[in-house]
Amino acid sequence: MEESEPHLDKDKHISYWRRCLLTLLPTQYTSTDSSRMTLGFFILSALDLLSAGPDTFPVSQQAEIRAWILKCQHPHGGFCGSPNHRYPDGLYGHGEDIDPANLPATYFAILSLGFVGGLEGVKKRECLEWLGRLQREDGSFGELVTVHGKVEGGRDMRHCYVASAVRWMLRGDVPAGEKVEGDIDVEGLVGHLRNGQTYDGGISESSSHEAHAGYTYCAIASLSFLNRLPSSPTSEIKSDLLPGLTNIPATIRWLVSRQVGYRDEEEDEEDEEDEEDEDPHQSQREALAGIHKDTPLVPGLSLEDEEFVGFNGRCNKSVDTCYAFWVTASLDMLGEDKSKLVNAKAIRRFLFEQTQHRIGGFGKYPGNPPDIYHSYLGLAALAVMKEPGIKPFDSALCVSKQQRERITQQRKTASVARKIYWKHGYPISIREDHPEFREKMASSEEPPTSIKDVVGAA
Amino acid sequence: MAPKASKPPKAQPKAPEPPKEYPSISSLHQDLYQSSRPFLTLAQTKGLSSLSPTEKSAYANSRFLETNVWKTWPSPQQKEFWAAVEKQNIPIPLPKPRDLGKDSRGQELGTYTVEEYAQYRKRERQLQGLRRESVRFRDRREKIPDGEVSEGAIEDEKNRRKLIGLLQGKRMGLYEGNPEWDDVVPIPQDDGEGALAQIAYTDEYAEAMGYLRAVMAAKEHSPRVLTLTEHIISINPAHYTVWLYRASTLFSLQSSLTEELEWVNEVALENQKNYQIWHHRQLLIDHLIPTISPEAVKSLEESERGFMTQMFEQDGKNYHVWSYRQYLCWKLDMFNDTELRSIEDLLRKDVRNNSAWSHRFFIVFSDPKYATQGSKATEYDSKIPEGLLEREIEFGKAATFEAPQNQSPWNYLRGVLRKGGRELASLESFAGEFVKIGEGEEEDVRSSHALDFLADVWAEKGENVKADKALGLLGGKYDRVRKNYWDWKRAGLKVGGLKVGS
Repeated sequence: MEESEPHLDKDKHISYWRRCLLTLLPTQYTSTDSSRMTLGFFILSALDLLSAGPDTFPVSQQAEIRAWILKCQHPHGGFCGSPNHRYPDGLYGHGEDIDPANLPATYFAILSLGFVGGLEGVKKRECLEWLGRLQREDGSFGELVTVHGKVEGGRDMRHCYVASAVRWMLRGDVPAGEKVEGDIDVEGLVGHLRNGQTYDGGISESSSHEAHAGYTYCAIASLSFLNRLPSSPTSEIKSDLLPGLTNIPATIRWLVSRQVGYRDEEEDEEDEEDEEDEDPHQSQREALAGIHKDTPLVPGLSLEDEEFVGFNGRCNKSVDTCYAFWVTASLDMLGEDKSKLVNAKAIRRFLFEQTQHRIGGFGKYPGNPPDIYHSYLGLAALAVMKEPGIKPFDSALCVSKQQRERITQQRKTASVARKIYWKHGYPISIREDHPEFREKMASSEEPPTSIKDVVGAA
Repeated sequence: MAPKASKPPKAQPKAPEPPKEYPSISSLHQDLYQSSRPFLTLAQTKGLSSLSPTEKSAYANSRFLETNVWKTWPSPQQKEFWAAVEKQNIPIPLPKPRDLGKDSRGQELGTYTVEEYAQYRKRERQLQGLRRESVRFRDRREKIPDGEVSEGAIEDEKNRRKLIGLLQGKRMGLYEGNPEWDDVVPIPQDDGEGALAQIAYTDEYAEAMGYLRAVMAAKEHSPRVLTLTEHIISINPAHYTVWLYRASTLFSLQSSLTEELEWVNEVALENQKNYQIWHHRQLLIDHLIPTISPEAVKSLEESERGFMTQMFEQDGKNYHVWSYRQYLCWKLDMFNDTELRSIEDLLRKDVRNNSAWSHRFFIVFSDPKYATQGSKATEYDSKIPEGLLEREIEFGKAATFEAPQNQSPWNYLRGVLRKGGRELASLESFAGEFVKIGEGEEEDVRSSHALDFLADVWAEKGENVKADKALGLLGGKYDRVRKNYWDWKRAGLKVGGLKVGS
C-alpha cells in the first residue's frame, strides 16, 4: 500500500467497539431496543473482525455474555429481540406465548453464541419446528407467529435470509432436492426468492416492487445457504430444481450500477442542514454527478478530482455507507471474481475519507456520527474487499471466515444421523459416526414383539 | 513598586460574639454533643492535673453520670450524687450524634445547613401525612367495587401523588402517579450480568415498558391499553409486538377503525421513518373492508390515494409507502387509469423517481385483466396487448428525451421489451439519437446509458467490433467508475460465450 493511501486505523475502531461493548448506549438507541440482539452481534463480530473478539475476553465475561444470550431464548424455541421481550419464566403458559420469539433475533443470537462457547444450549428441535411455522403459503417468511398461529411481519427478503441461515446452522446439511421430515418448504422459498427479481435485474420484496440492494443481498445469501448459486459448494444444480436467480447477468449489471459519483459538497450542506433536517442530503443528492444533471456528461469522470464515488441502494437514490456492503457482498457471493467488478479504490476512499468518523466507526452519510449498524457494515464492506488488518470475511454469513469455520464444525455434529439398535428389549440411539456404529448395528437384537406390532422391524 | 509595610493595626475592643454559625447540621449536632460534656472538654484541654478541686469533683461526677456507674450504688448515695450534679450544674450528656443518612439523590443529610435540614424535616412530615392519606385511598378503593370511587376522589389522589413527587424532589412516574393504574404491578426488565447493547433508557420509557409487560402478560384489552401502546410506540416504534397488541385491542374493543386510521395518518406524517405503521395499516384495512359498503370502499381508495400523495410530498421514494400501495392495489383492485395518472403526476414532478417507474411497471404488466397470472417481471408474457407495449415504449422514450442521463427510463424500456418479447435492436435507432461514434463522425455521447444500450444491441446482433468499441468508450471515458465491469463485458464478447445481460 502506498503511504498516501488512506488506511484502516484499527486501534480507533477497536476503541469505538469496546465503548459500545462496555458502556451504556445513548438514549437515542431506545428506538432500536427491540433489536438489541442484533446490536449485540454487531459488537461481538466487529471486535472479532478486528482480532479483538470475544476469544480475547476474560473467561468470566464470555460466560456472562453467553448466559445473557441464552436468557433471551424463548421457552418454546427461538430467541427474543431483547430482554424487554422476555418475561419471567413463570408467566409462560403451555403453548401460549405472551410475546413470541423473533426470527431476526434468533439468527443473531445463534451467531453470537458461536463467539462465546458455541451453539450448545440452543433448543434446536423447538427452534426448527417454530421455523417451519413461520413460513407462509407463498414460500415467504414472517418474523413471528402469534398466539393464534398467524404469521406476522413483512414478506421481504430479510426474513428469507435469516430463515435459511438459521436452518443452515441448526439442521446441518440437507442434500439439494431431498425432503426432510419437518423441514421448511425449500422449493416454495426458492420460488418466492425468484419471484422477487425485478425488470431491471435487482431483487425486491416481490417482483411488483422496486429493486433494493439490501433485499438483493438477502435473496442471494439465502440462495447460497440453499446451494442454489452457481458458486455454491455443491454447485451441481439438478435439472428438475429451480435455479436460484432468473437472470444473473442482469443482476450483476444492476449491482455495479449502484456505484455512483457525487461531488463533495459537505460545506454547503452544513448550512442547509437545519432547514432540511428530515433529509439533510437533498443537496448531496442534487449533486450526484451525471445523474441529476442533464448537462452533457462530464467526460473523464475522474477519481482524482473533487468527485467521490459511493454506493446507493436503489436507482437514483443517494449514497450511504451500508450499501457498500450490500452491493460488494452480493457480487462476492456470485463468484469471487465478481466483487472485483466494482471500483475498490473508490470504495476505500469513500469509506475512509467520507463516512469514517474520527472517534472510530462509520456514519450513514458523509459527516454523520457513527452508529453501530453503519459501523459494522462499513467494516464488513472493507472486509469483503480484503482490507489488510481485517480478518478474511464470509459474505453470506456476514462473519469472519474463521467464525464460519467454527460454526461449520458445530453444524456437522448436528447433521449426523442417528439410528436405533435393540439390546435386551430396549431401543438405543447411536450416531452414525460413532466408532462402533457398524458393530452395534450388527449386534442389534430383534425388537420385542409387542413393539414390532407398532413400529415394524427396526 | 513594593508596597510600604503597613503599621500593625491598633488593638480594638472585642465585639460581642455573634451567635455561632454552623456550616452544616452535623456540625451543629457535633457541637451540641461536645457542649453537653463541658468538664470532659475542660479536662482534655487543660489536663486533669491542672484542674481546681471543684472542677476535679465536677469532672468525676460527670464521668459517673455518663458511664451510669451511679446506678449500681445504694440509694442514699445516689441521692447525694444527684444533689451534687445539680449543684455543680453538670448537664446531662447527649448521646453521640447518629448518622442522618442520605436523601433521595444520594446526598448526605449531614451536609445540609441547619436551615435546609429544618426544611427537609418539615417536608418529610408532610410527605408522611400524604403517604398515609394515599394508603387510606388505596385501602378504601380495594373495598369498594370498581367504578364506584368518585371521580373527585381519584382527582384528589392524582394531585396528592403529584405533590408527593414534588416533595420528594423527583417526579413520580406517569403510571405510578395515576391511580387508574394502581391495580397493575409492573414487570421490570431483567437484564442481569453480561448484557449486550444496554441502552440508557429514560425513566419514562423504563416505567411504561414495565406496565406494558404487565398488561400483555395479563392479556388485558381495555381502553387504557390504547393509551399505553400509543405511548410506547411514540418512543420505540420498532417494538415488534406492541403494534399487534394494539391492533388486537382495537378489534376486541370494536373501536372505530376510521378514527384509528386518522391517528395513524398523523403519526406517519410526523415520522417518515416509522415503517411498522404500514403493516398496522394493512391490518386495519383488512378488518375494515368486509364491514363497509362498496361505495365506502371506493371512497376509501380515494382517501388512501390522497394520503399517500401527502406522504410522497415529503419523500416520493418512501419504500414502505410503496409496499403498502402495492398491497392496496391488489386489495382494492386499483389497476385503473386513476392509478396510472397518479403515477404520471409523480413522474412529472420528478422523472428520476425510480419507485414510481417500478410501480408503473407493476400496474401495467400485472393487471389481472390481461396479464398472465404469476408471470415474473423478467419473463416474456404473450398476453400483453401490442398497443399497450407501444404506449409504454413511447412513454419511456419521451422521458428519456427529457433527461437522457436518467437510468430509470432506460431500465424501464429494457423491461418493457423483455416483457413484450421484443429485441433490444428494435430501439437501435432511438438509442442512436444520443450517440454519435461512427467512423468519420464527430464523437458525441449524450447518455452513457444509450451507449450501454447500443453495446448490448450490437452484441445481440453479433456486431462485436462495434459493441467492443462502445464498451471501450464507456470504461475509458463516459463511465469510468465502472471500468472493471465494462472490461469484463469486453472480455465476455471476445470469448463469445457470454450472453450479455440486459
